[in-house]
Amino acid sequence: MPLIATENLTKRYPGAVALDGVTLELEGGIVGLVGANGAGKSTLIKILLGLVPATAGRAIVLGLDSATRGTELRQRVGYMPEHDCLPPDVSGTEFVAHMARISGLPADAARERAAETLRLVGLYEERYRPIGAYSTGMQQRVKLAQALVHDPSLLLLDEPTSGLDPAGREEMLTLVRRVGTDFGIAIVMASHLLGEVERVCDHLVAIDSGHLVASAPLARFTALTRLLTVEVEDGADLLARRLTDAGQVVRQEGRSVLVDLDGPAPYDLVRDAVVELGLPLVRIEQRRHQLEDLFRGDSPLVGEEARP
Amino acid sequence: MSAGGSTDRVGAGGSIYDLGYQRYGGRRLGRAYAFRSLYLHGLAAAFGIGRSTRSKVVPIGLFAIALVPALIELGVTALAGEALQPVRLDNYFSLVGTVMVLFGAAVAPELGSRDQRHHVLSLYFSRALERRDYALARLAALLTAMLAIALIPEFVLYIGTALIHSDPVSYLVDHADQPGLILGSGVLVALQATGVALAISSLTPRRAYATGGIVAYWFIADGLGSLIASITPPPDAGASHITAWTHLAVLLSPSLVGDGTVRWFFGTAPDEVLARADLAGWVYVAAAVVYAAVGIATVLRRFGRIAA
Repeated sequence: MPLIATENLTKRYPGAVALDGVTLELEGGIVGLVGANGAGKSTLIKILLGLVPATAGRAIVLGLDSATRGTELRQRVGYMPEHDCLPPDVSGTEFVAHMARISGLPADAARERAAETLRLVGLYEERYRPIGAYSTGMQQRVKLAQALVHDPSLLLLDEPTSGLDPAGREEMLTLVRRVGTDFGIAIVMASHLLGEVERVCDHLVAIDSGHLVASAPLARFTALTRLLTVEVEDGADLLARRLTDAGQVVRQEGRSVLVDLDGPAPYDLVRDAVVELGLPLVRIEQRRHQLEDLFRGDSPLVGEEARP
Repeated sequence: MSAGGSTDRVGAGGSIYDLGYQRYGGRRLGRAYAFRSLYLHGLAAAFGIGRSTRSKVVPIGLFAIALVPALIELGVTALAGEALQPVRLDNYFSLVGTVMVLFGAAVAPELGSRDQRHHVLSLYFSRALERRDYALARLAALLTAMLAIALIPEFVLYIGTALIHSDPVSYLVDHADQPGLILGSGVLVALQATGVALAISSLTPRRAYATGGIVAYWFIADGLGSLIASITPPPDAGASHITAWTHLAVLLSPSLVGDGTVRWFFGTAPDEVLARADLAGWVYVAAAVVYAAVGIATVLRRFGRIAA
């Protein structure tokens, strides 16, 4: 059973389409949900939670239909919204314990789990102070703690690093990674920053303007290409001409020459050409796909998994 | 480190035992428990319990003020040896109705506006709690608090009068219908006040607007109702000048409706203002029910639709 399966999921608001026919299947692990602001990430998360009804299509999360068995489903899911969602005049412990009770934990267990979860996310003595006195970083930790306190099977995080400075961002990402790997909780993390997703996630789902762009393990987005990059200090044009004469398909890109790689033959040709021309060689490297290619439409995976 | 496993790090100051993440294997109680937790939390919040001393002052102070007429009446009766009865069960509401309004204005925003202001609703709605559960738990919390104000002083007056009486047992036997009347009228006026106050609060995230709205609505409607009724000639003045407008003005005033309701229960004559409106007693009761129903429906509708 997949962790999350959506079928032609569509959400229309008056005058706008937030999600357009998204069909998706995800196993566990840490999934990055990436797209520009307004791409439909938050809408997708809210539909998965059963917070917002879909206009068409359906979403099955943990084997439960989010439209019809939302209450049951939400007992087993933790949600960290992007926006501020904490009352300023209660303490972190009190608030997280209250939220644990609303999730169905008996009072004693709620208190215990609240203290334990706050400690895990790195809040110690501060947890007895009112939340209004917390820094943004501490508030983000409380938001994570309230999503985690009832030990969910799935954690939905919407821009967990929102508003954090670089150090806080690092800490939050480390924490998310730890929750996913050490705690064994499946995570879907929405972010508009590719770098964050690349650091934390095993699997990547890219959406753009409500369309699914790609969904695949992260490694496949950065797989080797069939291009050899040869970078020289100067004389790239000479090298390109020499290789073309030798029958290779090449393209020049600044100080680099890109050679189509159809076997080991180009390596020897490149070596010989560089030596014969006496060029100052910087590097020879088989090129990797960049995650950024996704949104330029050059990724090998674009569209591949988007089709049902 | 695995889920639920443990590692110990040995630092310079000794051993730090990091127990890691513990899975929760305990009981998970469902929706009914979540509802109860939210209800009790709301009831405590209504009286400022678990909050700063400052937030206790107003609700507990108002509750004390509602008790004052009963205590004065009991004191005077005890000293004078006989009941002078300026304060009676049937006119108690007309004496403390304002206290109930102020209590609603102080407490209802805490229950109806605060979670909107701090965007906490999405955390509630992403748990095993339906939107309707949230609305009903808030209504139930405010109703319980209102009942405390509507019922406790009157029962104090009733029981106190019996105790002061030369023959308490025969007093209680002679007035055996009173507890039922206190309960019936008290529940109705509390429902009415709860419906109006929480409906207004639920419509705005701003506490000040909610408080202002409740006070303004109550006193403007009350003032208009009393004014229009007072310029209407008494019913025994011959020609009937009582128009539908007068009736409407009186029924639009929640406190006149509450007063009329209580008097209908105790079967006593209306005071001068109500006498001029010349409405049958049951009309006030029906109006109180309509107030409560419209208020409750507004709260349910608002929390059923609000974006979270």
